[in-house]
Amino acid sequence: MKRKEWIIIGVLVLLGAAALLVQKLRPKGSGYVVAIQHRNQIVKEFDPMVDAVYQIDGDVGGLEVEVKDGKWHVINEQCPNHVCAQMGWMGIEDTLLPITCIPNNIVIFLEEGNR
Amino acid sequence: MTIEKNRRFSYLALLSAVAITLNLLESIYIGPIFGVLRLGLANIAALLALKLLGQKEMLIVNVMRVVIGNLLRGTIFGSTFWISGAGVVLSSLVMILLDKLDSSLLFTSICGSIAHSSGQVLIVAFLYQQAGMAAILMYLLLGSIPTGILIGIVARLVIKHIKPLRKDNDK
Repeated sequence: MKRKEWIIIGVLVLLGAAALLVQKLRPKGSGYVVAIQHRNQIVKEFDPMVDAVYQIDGDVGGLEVEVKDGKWHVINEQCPNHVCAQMGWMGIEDTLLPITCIPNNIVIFLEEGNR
Repeated sequence: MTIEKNRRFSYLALLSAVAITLNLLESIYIGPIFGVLRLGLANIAALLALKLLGQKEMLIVNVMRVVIGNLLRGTIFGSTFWISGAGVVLSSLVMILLDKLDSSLLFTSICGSIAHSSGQVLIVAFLYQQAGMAAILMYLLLGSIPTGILIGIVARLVIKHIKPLRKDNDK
């Protein structure tokens, strides 16, 4: 690779690392609400601090969302890819990272406006 | 002339087959790393097509990979199809631009990998109206660099052993 190309890659790495750092250092409040959206509709909203299991119907069979100790993850997903379950536990610190099940058309995300 | 044409056509067919096979193998046997990041093995075939045949041929290989790959998986015209299509369109555009600028294979691979992930995230953010998806871009940006380097190294090793059929006017 040319010198100029290494510099561009270096700048990109620095930008990415800086953005991640900013995201990690963002102040975290309380009173979060997590929403589950199917197609364009929010079908469920829950408090991540309340332990529960929610059953959600999707396009190819649906999935379950298990909430425990302020974190949530997908279990028993009826879809061919299983990417949503592999994404593992999400917590309040992963504020902008939604769990997405594309075959089911389901997105589970932290609602920023309800903080 | 005809032999040359036939040879190009054979290379194109072979690279398309390789791209489709790698795409299918990756989606079946190698899951996404950390839930979101894929290696992008099929990009090896795209890079080979770009360097050995030309830009038009790379586009053909990429289109074949998305259309036939999704057709074989049974996801044609579904959300997966449009998402992989968006990734391929953006990465193809970036790789063509870098090829015109005479960039190295490794740099083209890294930028193609970043563009592919970014295209997919942007279309998901648009389809699902989730602007927050943009936060994943940072993870993908950092993750795509090592995968791009890996794919670029593999492509470079392969190119050493194949005689390019590309002419200067393919640029």
